[in-house]
Amino acid sequence: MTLTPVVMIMRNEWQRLWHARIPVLLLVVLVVLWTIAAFTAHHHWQDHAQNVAQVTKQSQQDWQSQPNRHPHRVSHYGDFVVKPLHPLSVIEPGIIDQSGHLVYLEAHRLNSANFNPATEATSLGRFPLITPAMIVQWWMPLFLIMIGYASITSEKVAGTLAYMRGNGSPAWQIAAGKWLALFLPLAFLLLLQALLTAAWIWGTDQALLRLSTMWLGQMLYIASWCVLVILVSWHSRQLHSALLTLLLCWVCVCIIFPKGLANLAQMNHPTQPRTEAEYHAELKLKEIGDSHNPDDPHFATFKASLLNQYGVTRTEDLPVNYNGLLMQEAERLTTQVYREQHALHNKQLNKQNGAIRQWLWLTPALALQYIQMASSGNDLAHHQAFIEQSENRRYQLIQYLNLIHTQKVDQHDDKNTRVSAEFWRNAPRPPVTLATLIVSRDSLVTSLAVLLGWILLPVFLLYRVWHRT
Amino acid sequence: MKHELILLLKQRSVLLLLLISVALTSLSLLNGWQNISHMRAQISHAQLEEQRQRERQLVAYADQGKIDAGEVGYYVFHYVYQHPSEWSFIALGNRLVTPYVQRIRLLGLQGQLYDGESHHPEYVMLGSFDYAFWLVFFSPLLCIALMHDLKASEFEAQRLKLLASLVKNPFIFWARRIFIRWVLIFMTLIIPLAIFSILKNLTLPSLIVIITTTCLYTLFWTMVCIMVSLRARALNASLNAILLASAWLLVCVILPNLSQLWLNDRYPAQDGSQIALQHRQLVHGAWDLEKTDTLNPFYEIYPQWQHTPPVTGRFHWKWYYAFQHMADVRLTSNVMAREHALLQRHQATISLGLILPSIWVQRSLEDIAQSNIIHLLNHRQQITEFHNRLRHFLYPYLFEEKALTSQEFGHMPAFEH
Repeated sequence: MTLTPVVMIMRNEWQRLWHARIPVLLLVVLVVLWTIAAFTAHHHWQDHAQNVAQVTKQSQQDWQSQPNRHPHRVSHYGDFVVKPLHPLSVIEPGIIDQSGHLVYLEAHRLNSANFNPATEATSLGRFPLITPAMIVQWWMPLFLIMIGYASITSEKVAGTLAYMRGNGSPAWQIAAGKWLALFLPLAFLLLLQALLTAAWIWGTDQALLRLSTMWLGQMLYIASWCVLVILVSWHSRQLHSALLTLLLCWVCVCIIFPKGLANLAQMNHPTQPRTEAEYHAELKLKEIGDSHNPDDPHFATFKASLLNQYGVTRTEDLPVNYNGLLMQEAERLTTQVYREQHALHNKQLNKQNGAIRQWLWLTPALALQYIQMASSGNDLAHHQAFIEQSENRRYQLIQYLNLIHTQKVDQHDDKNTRVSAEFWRNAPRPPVTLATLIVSRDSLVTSLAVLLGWILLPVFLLYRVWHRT
Repeated sequence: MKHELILLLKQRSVLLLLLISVALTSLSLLNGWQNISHMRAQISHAQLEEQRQRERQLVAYADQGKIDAGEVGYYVFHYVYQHPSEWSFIALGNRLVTPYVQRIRLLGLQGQLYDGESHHPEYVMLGSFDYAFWLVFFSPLLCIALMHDLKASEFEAQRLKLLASLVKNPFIFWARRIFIRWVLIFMTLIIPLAIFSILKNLTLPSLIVIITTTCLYTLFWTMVCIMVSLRARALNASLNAILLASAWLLVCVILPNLSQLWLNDRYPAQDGSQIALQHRQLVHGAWDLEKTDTLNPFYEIYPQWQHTPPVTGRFHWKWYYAFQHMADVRLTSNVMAREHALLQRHQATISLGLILPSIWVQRSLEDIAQSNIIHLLNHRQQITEFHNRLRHFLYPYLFEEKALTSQEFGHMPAFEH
């Protein structure tokens, strides 16, 4: 097995492409497009990053400069957390614009992530964003099709394919040579992008792992498109039909299937409006118990066991603040209910994801998008992890404040007491960090499998095609 | 003309392309429609729920006898709806992201107005496959596919010279060829649209506007294709296809993206999170201030309540709602500035549309569908007015401490739009 003929074929193909001039022109256009994408995406990212930094700082400052207050005031004052961004968002901003980036943490409530630029965008916001990820996902295959649709069909039309095979070049050598001719320049561009990005994100969270996952996905994806182009080009008898078939594949794989699947999943597993979920949570809470109602069975038992524990007969005789204890218990209950409600919502989202994954084999473009979104930390799994982290922080913080209420506030003069601001400064407010890549494990595995499948299937079909002709 | 048509339809790939176009146009309409009917269903469900909720509250309050107006303001939620309009399915626009049902209570509005909806963000990002997307993004590709090789295909088949010698008037010859192609493309777009609107019994004026928009946009792309594929040296079909595809990329992707960047730079708007942070600061800061610091400015706006009994105790609902409202009042200038910036962006988008047809089409369709930023701002305005009506309804009970009966509670304003 010698590789030289493969290299020869590859070099001949390059020569042909070079002399045809158009492919070279296309490559130049692609690089220009890429530069524009990098520029706009960087701008976009910078806006977000500045905002995140500003809000984090402001929120920290506001929190620290609180005066002496009653602890329950502080738990209603609440805390803001902003969704952290990975610098890889420059490549793939994913759901940044859609998910909302600010969560308000307060007592007895589980707030949504608010403020997304998509809501307030003008009609311009409806045009597909160009980002480096989009270049790889949409535009690279398109350019690849325009560059390579003729690669074998033209040899067939000119009769040189039969001549080459007659001269003893096995089909696999021809295919491999042509494939390399298409793949190597793009692989070089992807490598270049990966290296530049590596320099830019060096030292950040899981930088190498994330970047290499993304790079692997991109390489597989482009490799698969190259095989597809060769396959169709080999199969077609006319240049025109090769181009048309490939363009049709592109439209389906890149645009219609992803959008169609997303819509289908939403139709089959619709999500409730948030208001409805909130309302259901309130109903459940009413069932469990009302801490304001002295006759409420749940809180009556709670009170009885408490009195028993401290060996007193009246709440006024407790050595600690009864209201604080009540708050702790009520917070525990509301949190439980809200988390249940939120879990239901997440379940629905995961059902939607499941529905999509079942059909993911239809479109490697969506598979690549999952990989890119996951590795840049901008997919649903990362968002859910963020919401969960902030919810944990909320619960911890509110219970800390309730504890202070219990221990530091004299219950006989409860409402007029102010507790030293020192306590707020030392409150547990663990920083919200970006989740690790492992949260997106499921979507990564499925997507990589789909991409691999999309290489193997065209290779198999190619094998069939060259045996037939 | 008839011969041209037969000649064209005899090509299997052309026929296939046209059929696909019909199928995808129908799909886009259906998809938009499904999204909108889902919203409608959820809204009517919520309306029903609201009604039941209100009845239960009425019963509960009737048992209670005396109703605390302050608690009504705090615990009673009012639903506001953003109803889709008749043609919303044509362009989903920002309806895909904005909440179509929200709950409002008497607390400061700026803390409630921006509550997000719990969609699946990934799918909102993928966007919907609606008619606007199909028209703006794909109809150019149809034009390119059918018209990029007008001259070149004849040249490659070595018929161009023959044609030149046979045809008396080349202008009429090419015009006929182009016209028939344009008509086919146009028909694949509007026939499903027309059938759909008849089936769903939709209004005619909007349909005519949409058809006109479609007509103009496809004509624009036809002109572009003519310019490229009928120029003197347009003999290489691939080169034409690539030139046209680049034009498409420029008009439908690159320029809108760059415009968006320019727009955000030219008309900067404060991020919404700043409003949220400031609102919290204002609302909760009020607890640490003297009561008069809140009430005096409030009485300047509402002098009719200034002679009501002063708040001397630690807490009074009227002081509570006064500082809630004052937080909104103090933020007015920020909110207005943001709104102004968003409106300017909208205006600039309209102007950009005069240069870039893709933007123009998207914007016009969203106008008909009422799913643009301007409609969102309108909706927020309606919510603000509703919130005002609620406040004005409850203020007498809070400030004059009039007794709120369950009958009066039943007459609380409801959101109507």
